Amino acid sequence: MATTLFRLSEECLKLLSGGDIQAAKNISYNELKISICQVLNQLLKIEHLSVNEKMQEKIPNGTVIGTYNGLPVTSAGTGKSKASLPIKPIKLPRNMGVWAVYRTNHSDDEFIPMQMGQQAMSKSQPLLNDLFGQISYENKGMELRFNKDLTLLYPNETISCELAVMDMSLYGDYDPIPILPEMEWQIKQEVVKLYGMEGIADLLVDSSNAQQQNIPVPQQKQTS
Amino acid sequence: MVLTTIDSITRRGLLENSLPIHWYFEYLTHTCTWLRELNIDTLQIVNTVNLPVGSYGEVDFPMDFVDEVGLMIPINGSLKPLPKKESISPLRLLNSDGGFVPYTDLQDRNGQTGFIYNWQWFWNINDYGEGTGRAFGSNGGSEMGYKKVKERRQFQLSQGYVDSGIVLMYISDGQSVDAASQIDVQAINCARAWQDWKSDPLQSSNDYSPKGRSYYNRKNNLRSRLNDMDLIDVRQIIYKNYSAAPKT
Repeated sequence: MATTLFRLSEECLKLLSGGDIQAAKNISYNELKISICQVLNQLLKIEHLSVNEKMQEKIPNGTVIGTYNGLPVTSAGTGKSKASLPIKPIKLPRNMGVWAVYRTNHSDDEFIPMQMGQQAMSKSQPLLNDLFGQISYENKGMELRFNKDLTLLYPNETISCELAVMDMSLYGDYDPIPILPEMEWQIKQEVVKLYGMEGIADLLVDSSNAQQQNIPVPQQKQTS
Repeated sequence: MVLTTIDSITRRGLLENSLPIHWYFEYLTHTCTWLRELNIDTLQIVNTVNLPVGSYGEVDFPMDFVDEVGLMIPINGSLKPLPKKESISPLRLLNSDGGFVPYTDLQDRNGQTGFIYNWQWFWNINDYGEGTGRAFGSNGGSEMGYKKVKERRQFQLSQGYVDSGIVLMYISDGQSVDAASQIDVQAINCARAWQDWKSDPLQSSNDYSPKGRSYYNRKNNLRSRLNDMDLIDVRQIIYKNYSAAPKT
């Protein structure tokens, strides 16, 4: 069964709370979910560089891909256009973090990615400068810059981006998240290590609770 | 005839090497370079175009022109080749407005030395205009000709060409969409070897590297594949050069 963001954060919080999750705590679920995504993105990058690349595999299999549909394109100068990325993807060789860009609903007709500066350099090459009519893009910061004006070529159409990133905004608390099962343990370990320095919240002892009697104060638990 | 395209060869290279689309531009660049090099001596993609002849007998080179197979006059479905004529001047005459104008016939003829051509016909006819024979020294060939003027990126035809167009068969540098979409399928393996060689940073500049040798082997294979000499042609050459004669 695939795990969820909430389940992972609950598991982490339970460890951080020393057993039972207290009603009052220094660490929130939302904080933990953000950290889980951060750790996961780091693990995905390490996975690609230390496993795939060593095996001469260039396609980052197993990477979490966030798909964003309906992104608007705006005209940018003569015969050019641009679009904004919804989130910065992880940095992979050849900018593979931007995994695919295409017109919405045309996923088998991908635009051609080019490295920064190649669009300008290829202008002097007769056969390369138009890429046989195909559309290319360069990724600069949070922008995609296209070699053609898509607003004229495909008026009223939007684009879709597939980005190699674990973006928590795409998943609800109980949505299955597409991570590798062997990474779950690593995520928990890293997150718990990260928050391990945080102290447990002040104890609120209900002296009337029979469970707390005859138990040293540091070991008493919050009453729920 | 089945032909393939640069785009198809490029994508095939990515598929065979398990590479994503992010390597497309690099492979496309290598494949275009391969096409340019192979066009010069192996593939020799020959394009045929009908070009306009300008007011002073000039014909502009096509954009992807490398070398001409021939400049020809279209006559009834066949092409009559024009010979090269090195005596044609590459210099152009200008009129008072700065426009180019043709040389006049008079100036052209003044440069001739020796006998004026056709002189013999005036001597070898009788009073009725009938030929009397003895017309020696007449030869074939054409008075017309052309010269390739590289610095002007033009052909210059000899004066007196009357048609408004002329047919050029030329070898393309392969850097046109026509050339890039008309690649023989026998050449795919050769292109793939070039891609693999040039995309390997440790071997790309060494002709004697394993991948370099592999490319040249594939190129040799390609040349033999493209050679259209077959047994029928060999027999025909032999048959045509022997004649039977009755023994007396």
